[in-house]
Amino acid sequence: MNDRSANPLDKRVVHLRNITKIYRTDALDVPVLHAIDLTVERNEYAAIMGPSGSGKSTLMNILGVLDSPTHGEYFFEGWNIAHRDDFSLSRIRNDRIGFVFQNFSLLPRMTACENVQVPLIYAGVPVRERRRRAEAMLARVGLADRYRHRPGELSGGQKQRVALARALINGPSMILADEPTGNLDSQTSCEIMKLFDSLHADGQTIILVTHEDEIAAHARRTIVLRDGRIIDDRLR
Amino acid sequence: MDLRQSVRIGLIELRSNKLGSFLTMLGVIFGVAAVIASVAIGAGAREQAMEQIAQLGITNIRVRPLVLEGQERVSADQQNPDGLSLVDVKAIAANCPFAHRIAPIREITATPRVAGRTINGTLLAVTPDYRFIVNFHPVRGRFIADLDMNAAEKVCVLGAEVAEDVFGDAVWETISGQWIQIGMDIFRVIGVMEDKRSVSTRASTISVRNINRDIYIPFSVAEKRLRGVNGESALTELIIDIRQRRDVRQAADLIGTILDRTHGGVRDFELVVPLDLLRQAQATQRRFNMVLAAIAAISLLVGGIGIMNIMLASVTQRTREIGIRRALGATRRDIQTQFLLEAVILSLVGGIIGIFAGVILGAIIAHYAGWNTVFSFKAIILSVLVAATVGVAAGLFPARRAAGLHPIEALRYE
Repeated sequence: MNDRSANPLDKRVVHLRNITKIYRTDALDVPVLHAIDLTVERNEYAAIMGPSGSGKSTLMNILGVLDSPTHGEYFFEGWNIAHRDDFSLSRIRNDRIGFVFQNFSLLPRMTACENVQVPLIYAGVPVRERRRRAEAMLARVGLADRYRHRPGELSGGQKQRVALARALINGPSMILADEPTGNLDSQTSCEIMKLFDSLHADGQTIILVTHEDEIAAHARRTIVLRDGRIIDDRLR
Repeated sequence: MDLRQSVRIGLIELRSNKLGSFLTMLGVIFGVAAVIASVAIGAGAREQAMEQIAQLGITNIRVRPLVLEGQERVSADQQNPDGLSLVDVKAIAANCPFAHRIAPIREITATPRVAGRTINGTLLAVTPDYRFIVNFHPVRGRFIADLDMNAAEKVCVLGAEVAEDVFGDAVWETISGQWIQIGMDIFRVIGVMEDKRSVSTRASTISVRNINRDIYIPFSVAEKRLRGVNGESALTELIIDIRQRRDVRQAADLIGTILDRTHGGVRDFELVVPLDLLRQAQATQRRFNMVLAAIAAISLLVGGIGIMNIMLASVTQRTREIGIRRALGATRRDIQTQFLLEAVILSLVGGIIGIFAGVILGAIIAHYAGWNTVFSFKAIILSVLVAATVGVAAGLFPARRAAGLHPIEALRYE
């Protein structure tokens, strides 16, 4: 899985077929996703929308291989990965997917530069190259003067920039952003979204999960979920 | 993920909670310190005992007269008024085939003087064999020889400390031929003994004199010419050298039987067998070691439980961090390694502090109690290994729990 491109003719980064997720509890089974079919191609900029409980978080977890579907097949860059083992899935998360979370999810005891390096650590990159790449990436998201700051010393917008730098550091096939502006004021939200837009302009595949129309408006495609089914999927 | 990075992450974690980490380490610190200190004290005591026993001679059997009381004394006076005597020497020489050499010793209760000045020394009448039996030899001049014995020459050999007291740092040429007055007689100095470091005696059963304060004269002189001095013919001690070490026990029994017969069944003597003392010392040491191991095991167990406790708390506290790391590509194994390593670092650092604490503790005890301590490299290495093992054992369960967390559950944890 570590050769960068699986099939250069296949433009599909993500291809879900008949994906179903059922949460099993002691008493009953709770279906969350019903037979989802979804394809996201390279350099797409998509927003997944839906009210809470619609299953968009579960879909996001499955897309990010943090969770595995109960049924169905998930082709990631042409490879069926629906039922791979933990090690392979960890490698895919490390190498191919960049996560951005609503609450930033930085490690509080590490500096900005160290936070950005974490995916590189698990990728086995030597320490000097790690630092060089992390500093370059921080400069790219506009934090050249914040290498040594800890998350507690950064504003919300700065934290999200660090998180974005961390998501980009391994050159992922797609960025998965879960409510990336949920904890930010409107001014900062705007700046962060501009950053996403420019990444898309550079060719990055981006999938946003949001319930705000203004945020979704940045994307070129909107996928709406309700009760575990895709009820709308259109280009703007 | 490389190990160095894991160690670094672990150190950052532990440093961010210095007090907690230190308190957690205390169990291991105490355990290791106790082991190091008591092993050192035990080894010191053993070395001392061995030295004392070796000084008595491992193939020797010593017979000493016992002072009896009451009715026993009355019957002893009737049956065997002489106590331990040359009769016994002859009986042993004739009936005990194991005996190689026999050295009778008689302490003379007279005050040695040089030019009217009293010398602090113990006067002992011995035979030429004495120096072979106790493996104690002159460094200057010579020891008492058969010729001195036969002619009952009035010569003497001085212990190292006596010689120094009397003659200071004078060269041997000026000491040789000097005269020492004992009772009414004058003795010529013919030799000075080697300086034998004697171990201070605490164990009463093994009483060892400071032999550097002895003054030796020929046994025949004490027998023939000094009868008037102490008025008795009894011996102070009888040392029998046994040919083979394996025969010592059997020889001791035989000598006991022989002496019972010559003394008419009166037990007015005691047999001291250094080999037996050695075995006793070893048995005591084994029991001591067992108690020591038990104490160490308990405190290391408690230390291990402490580490496991804080690691479990740490896993709960850092659930979100685990989720984030998993999302960023850490495998289960990476997470497990990280937590395991933290536990091992805790116990290893605790172990190393414990070693220093143990060495200091041992030195303090040695200083104030005046005991010997011997620090062994082996004990230190063993402690480090045990500490690391405790860390792995205590860390495995929390680390497995951390690794087993589902990434999504961990990410959602608040």
